[in-house]
Amino acid sequence: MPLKWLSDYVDIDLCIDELADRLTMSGTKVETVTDIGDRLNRIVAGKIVSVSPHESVGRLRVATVDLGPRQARRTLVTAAANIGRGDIVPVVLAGGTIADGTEIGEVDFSGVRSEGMLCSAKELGISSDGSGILRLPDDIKPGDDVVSALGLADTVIELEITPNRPDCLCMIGIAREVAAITGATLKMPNTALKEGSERAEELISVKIDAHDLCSRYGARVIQKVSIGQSPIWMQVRLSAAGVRPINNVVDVTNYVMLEVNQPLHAFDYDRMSEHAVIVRRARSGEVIVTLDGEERRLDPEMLVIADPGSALAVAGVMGGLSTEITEDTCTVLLESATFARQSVWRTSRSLKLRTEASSRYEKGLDPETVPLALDRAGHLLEAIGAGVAASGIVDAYPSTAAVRVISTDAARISRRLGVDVSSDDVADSLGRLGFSVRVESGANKAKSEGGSLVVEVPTFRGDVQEEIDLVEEVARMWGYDRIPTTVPAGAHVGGYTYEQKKAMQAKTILTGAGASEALTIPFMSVADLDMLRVGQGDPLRDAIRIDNPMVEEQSYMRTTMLPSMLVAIRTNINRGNRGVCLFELGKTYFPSQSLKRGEELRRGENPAVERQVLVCGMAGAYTPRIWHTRERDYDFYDAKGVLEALLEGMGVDGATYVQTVRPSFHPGRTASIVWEDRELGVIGEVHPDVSEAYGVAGRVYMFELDFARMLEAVDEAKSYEPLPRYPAIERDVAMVLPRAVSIADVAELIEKTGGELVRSVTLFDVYEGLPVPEGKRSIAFTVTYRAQDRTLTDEEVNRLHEEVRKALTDEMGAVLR
Amino acid sequence: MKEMNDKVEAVVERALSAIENAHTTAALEEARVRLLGRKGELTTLLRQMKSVDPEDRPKFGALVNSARETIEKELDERARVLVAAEKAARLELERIDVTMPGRAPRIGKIHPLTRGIMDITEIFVEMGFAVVEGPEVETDYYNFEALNTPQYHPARDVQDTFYVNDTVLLRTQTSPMQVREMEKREPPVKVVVPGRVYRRDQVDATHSPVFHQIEGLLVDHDITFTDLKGTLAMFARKFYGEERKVRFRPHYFPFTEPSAEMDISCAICGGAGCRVCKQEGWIEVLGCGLVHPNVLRAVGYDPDELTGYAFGMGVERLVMLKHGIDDLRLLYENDLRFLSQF
Repeated sequence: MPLKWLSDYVDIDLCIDELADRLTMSGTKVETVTDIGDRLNRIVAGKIVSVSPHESVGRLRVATVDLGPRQARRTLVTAAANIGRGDIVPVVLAGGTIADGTEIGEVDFSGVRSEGMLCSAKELGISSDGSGILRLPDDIKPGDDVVSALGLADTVIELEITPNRPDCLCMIGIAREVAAITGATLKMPNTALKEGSERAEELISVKIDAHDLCSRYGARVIQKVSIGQSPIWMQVRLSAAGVRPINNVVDVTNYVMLEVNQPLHAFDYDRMSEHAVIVRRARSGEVIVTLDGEERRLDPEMLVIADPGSALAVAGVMGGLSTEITEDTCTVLLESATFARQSVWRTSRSLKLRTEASSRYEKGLDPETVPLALDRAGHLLEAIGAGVAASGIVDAYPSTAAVRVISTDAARISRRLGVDVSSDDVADSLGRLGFSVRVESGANKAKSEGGSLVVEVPTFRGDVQEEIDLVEEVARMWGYDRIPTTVPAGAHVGGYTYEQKKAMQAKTILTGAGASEALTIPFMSVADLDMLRVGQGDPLRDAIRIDNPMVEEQSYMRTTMLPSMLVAIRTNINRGNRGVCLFELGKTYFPSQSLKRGEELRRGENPAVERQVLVCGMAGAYTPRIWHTRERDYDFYDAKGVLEALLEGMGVDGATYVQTVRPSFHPGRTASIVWEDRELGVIGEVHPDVSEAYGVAGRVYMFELDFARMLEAVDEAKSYEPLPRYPAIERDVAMVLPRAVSIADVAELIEKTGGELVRSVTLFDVYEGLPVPEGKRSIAFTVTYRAQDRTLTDEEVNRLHEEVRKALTDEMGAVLR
Repeated sequence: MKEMNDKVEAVVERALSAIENAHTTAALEEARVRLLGRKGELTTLLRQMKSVDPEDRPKFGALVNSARETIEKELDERARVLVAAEKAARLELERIDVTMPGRAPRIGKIHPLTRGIMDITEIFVEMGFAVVEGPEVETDYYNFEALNTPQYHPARDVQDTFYVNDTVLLRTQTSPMQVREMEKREPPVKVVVPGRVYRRDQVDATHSPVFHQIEGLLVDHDITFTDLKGTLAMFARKFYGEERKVRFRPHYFPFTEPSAEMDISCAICGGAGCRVCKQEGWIEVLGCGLVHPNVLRAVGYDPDELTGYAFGMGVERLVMLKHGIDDLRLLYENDLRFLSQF
């Protein structure tokens, strides 16, 4: 938003910082403030006194330029051919700079010294036209500073306009906000017209067939059109607002759109058959070539502007090539219409075609601006000599938009805001924004329960629907910063849920056990399941598919935590971290029954079963190379140790580990984690094919726990057991057994045989290799005996221990050592 | 008697010299035996008692005893010194290099985003909010429709959504939990909702298709805009520090009215303007507003009876600001060299 242009509609007395702050604090956030034209330096107007060809270089011309009474004439060399004696042109003096920051010096062109440079519009930053030297209007005198004469130096503010305020997407809208916050008066643009004698309604007809998609269609005819460049001042303004100048007619439509937020479209009148405008739905399969040269296939949900023969434009999105304005255009039909925003939204998306017009229509426009835009455009076209408006407009406006009326009162507004605002405050705030406010008399007030103020909402404020919207308008005019702060009364007991507390506890334990917390993106792909060796028909394949994923690798919601953990481990190993131990408490996602069957979900129902899963993975070096501990890699028992520490810390007693086989895990190194016949999860070495598929070199150990199920196993009651009062006696037992006999079975036999006096059985040694025979191993336990009520005697313990030894020999065939 | 006297004195003199010359506890023990032992010099001297004039014997006895006491006292004194010195020498030999690294149990770290979520929710818990979580796979109804954002609403444009089917999507915000909680609970409803949200954003230094938000909601009788400001200003002071300034700017969200964004003064430049705050001096930290009557109506609350406020903030941004993290991708790569810094 260039400030010089904005000042046409409102007087701005504030400095730019103050203005930016006031706009921001009233809801129109100023994102950036940029000075434009500040690089242009030492550029003055010059009058060409003479032009002659360069003596040795044919394509160059040498001009002598008069720079006014205070400076000497200069000699300038140019390649441009479009200058002649008497032209007023911009001259960059040696040492000056042009728009892109290039500094211009004195240059020798084969013996002729150029004391500066003649500029094109591009070099001044006005347009992209660099084809010739810009010719300045006659009212600029030699020696004048070009930057100030053309208004090239300006301050441009970039604003964040929220989606509810399409009315602020134009000069008038912002000027209205500025006027409201500064108390200045809004000045509407000049719409005075000369108009020719022919009447528009005799030149064209307009018929709306699809009233639901077009609420108003206005048209004006411009005759005696001569297409050319628009005046420099208009080009300068359009460029400053970020719009590229094209020609006078197109520039005027853009200029008016930027002024009043009403897109205008210009048709070549002579190329419209029967000069009849029909606003209708597209026919199925109908085709139009749009201005960008693309052929577009339309459908009946799209709206087109047509003549009796064919579609001429996609309504609100883009015009058609057949009625494009060209240099030969003599008569123009200007369209100013209101289309249903949903329709434009849908059409623009299905054609994948977004334009300045469509993005404005999508947000909703005010039908009352339709004639204003036509009049303003007519005025400008006449003023710049681009044509003459035919008399009047054709305005198809079947049902006038109803004016919205909201009743309220100051007390109700005060109650929402928590501050006392008076009726006058309300009337003043809303009045400044263009609302009309009427105070109901006492008698009426009693009757109308709604409130004592009747507010008429201006048509351009489609966002203001009900009383609460007025509250915001009053609040932002009043100033959010002036509203005091309070803390709501009332005692509430908040806090974390049990599950949240246990989650925090689990994380604390795991970090204490050396694992760091990872957070990953919960997507996966079918390829992940293949890489995990998950079979067809496995429940893990019953995953939720995303209809519009960004990439195929992220096209499903994960049903297992393994892929993201494997990727995190790979990242670490590949980046040279020698050992890695990570955990994540995340979710897996499965479709609910209703989602699977495609049924409509009940209110409150969740589309997915989202399960909390705890995964912990480790790989690489367990210890770094360090003086006190031998270097070694992670192994299964490190993972199991972390798991045991976790379960113990969480208060889960009695978990057992049952050898098992799972597709993603090593067939001989995997256990199901079982608690009271329920599986809490799986622990094991990741199958070498899986880690290889994920590009992880070396072995990976992992456990995955169903967190909710683990919480069910937590013993929160924890009843106290008296501390032992009598000493314990320890006895060791060592034996050789086949490898296939599990340690758990041996320990269980010892406990069973020893009975309640056995307080603990601890494996303290395992040995395989010579002299122990192949397929066997030597194992050794410490058995601790203790009674609760007496000191055990040696004989008693010896007798019991002998029974244990005998049982091991008799029942397991252990060879005792 | 004089002769004996001299002898005793000579013994004492030799004894003191021997004690002084004993440089180890062993040498001192040797000297003790030599002086006081059964065959020691003083004992030998005492045995000469019978050659002393009987009249002088008590005197002589006293003399020898006094000499013994002197010697013993010196011996003990010397022993204390030598024991102390030897202990000191021994301890000196036991000197270790305290700069060698310890055998630290390995400690993992909590992810900075989790830490951020805990720090934020903790403040609201102290203010009486309950922490609840909700589904990430959501319905269009809860994510948009019930939040006053019907189909074709312009606000849907800025949130490019992942869809599962026409009515099921990945939530783009934690706000659907406002509706679910109001449906589930009797007012007052006072909750904060941390959670993961999804938007179709290309991954770059400030965007990720998955990120975290924290939503807040209070619905009760007579909740006003001043309550909203008071609660959030208190949060800002606790989370960002007492010295930070807070401002509220009008903004727009479909499900609140009036709506606001809260800014805090930039900690880097103190409000003067710098690269971090894009020269504004302020940093936007959350969006908020009074719950829109249409949202209350959607859950069957009477907007004339009940009012409320809601707020929402993005966790990644706050965590990145807090720790000076310049690339959001670091938060999801799980590189231990990054994680171990927190």
